[in-house]
Amino acid sequence: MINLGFILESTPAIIKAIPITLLMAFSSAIIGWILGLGIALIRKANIAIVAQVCAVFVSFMRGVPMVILLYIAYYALPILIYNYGLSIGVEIDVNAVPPVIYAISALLLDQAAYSSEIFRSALSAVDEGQMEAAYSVGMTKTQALVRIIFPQAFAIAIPNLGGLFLGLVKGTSLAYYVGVYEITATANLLAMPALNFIESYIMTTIVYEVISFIINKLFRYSENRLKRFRAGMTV
Amino acid sequence: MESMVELKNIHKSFGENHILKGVDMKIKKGEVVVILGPSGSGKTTLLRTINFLDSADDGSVSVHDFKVKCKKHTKSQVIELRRKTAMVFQNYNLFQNKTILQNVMEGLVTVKKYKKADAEVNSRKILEKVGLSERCDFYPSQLSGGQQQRAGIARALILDPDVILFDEPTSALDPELVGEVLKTIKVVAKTGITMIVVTHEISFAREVASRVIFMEGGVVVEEGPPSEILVNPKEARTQQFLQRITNPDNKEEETLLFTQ
Repeated sequence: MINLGFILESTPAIIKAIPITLLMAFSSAIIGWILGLGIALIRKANIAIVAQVCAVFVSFMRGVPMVILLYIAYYALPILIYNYGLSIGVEIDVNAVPPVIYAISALLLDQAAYSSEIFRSALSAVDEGQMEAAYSVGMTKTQALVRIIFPQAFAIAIPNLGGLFLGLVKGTSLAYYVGVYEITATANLLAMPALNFIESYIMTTIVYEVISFIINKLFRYSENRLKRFRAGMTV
Repeated sequence: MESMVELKNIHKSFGENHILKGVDMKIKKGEVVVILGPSGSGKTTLLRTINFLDSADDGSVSVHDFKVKCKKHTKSQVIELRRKTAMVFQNYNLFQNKTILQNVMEGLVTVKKYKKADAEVNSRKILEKVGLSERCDFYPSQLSGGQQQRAGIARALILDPDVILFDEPTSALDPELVGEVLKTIKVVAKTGITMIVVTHEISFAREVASRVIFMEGGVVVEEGPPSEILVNPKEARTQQFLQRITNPDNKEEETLLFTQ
């Protein structure tokens, strides 16, 4: 039967692991999405060579399994950094870097690739006349983007970004493979001594469900705020 | 009198399609110029080359003595030129994410660097003039086409431009809303601001225009005061065009169509 005692005992430890999951999710989303927006703008402006490089990057990232990406970040990145350090005459102690940093760098590249596609389609969905109108009153391109285009594009992008973010939160559980003790890894570790795996997985599921529920609410709220300019379109 | 807008030898192609074939135009301060012509004649493109929404391949554009050569223009020149002009679009193109008041304020605050409070006072005044003071806090999607277009006119007017460019301002409107927008444009025309209007509204041209320009095939065919061009056009192409517009039920053409 279900071991309630185990559940009560290990709950605090699992709750303590929530921040590391959220840290990975939020930091890779924030940095990754900024990069993604940059990639989208570069590809939309069709800047020679850079746009092609971005296209290859996006296509490549979308084809790589997350676990492989994490392994590459965890095993290959330190060697690269170490060798680079040697080449400029500095011996960098790569072992001092906590694994969560490698996990975040892998996750954020993944986020950059996926979000860039969301931003690209959102930017194309904004009517071209909006840019022309902004130009016609004398705005610069940056002013037009920041004040007119981005707010409208974000309103279009936010449901998809919400989905992407939920996927990311769950994706952080893969950081287990590179030794980050986030929610899933902690639950697994606790389960091992007495083989309380069922209890662990139930708890893990509940924790992820609660986080997802809250995130969903947050995205729905911001969606409605961003979309308030569309008559009768509030969800 | 000095010329407010001067176009010289404007050429523009889209791919293989040569749209404008060397257009020259001089518009004096305070003139209301109406450009007529069949669709595909290049009149909208010409209007858009003035504020570089389409940049011409050759020729030059000058507004209020600020001259830009189309072949080698810089970004800052284009912005300077755009700040001397304003445009009213066929599809209104109000900023969808901003209220009507914010739409009108936007140019003042972002481009002319007004303080928000001052910009708001001025914007409310202009919106009252176009009859939209009740709609200040509505978003464009909540307004009718006519109301949106009047807001578009207010957004252009508030910038106090040297010239306002109207790109078929009533073409996207439901027929019963055309009147209110034309009325607003007429009021604007009376203030003495320089205007270039691309339209199909012949009666508007007759009443308001100080000069009518007829374009076809990327060139200016004929120009003159409305009493001449609209009543006694010299060129055959102008006559044909006016006949088609004022008398769309041409029986002769109809039978021609069916017998072919």
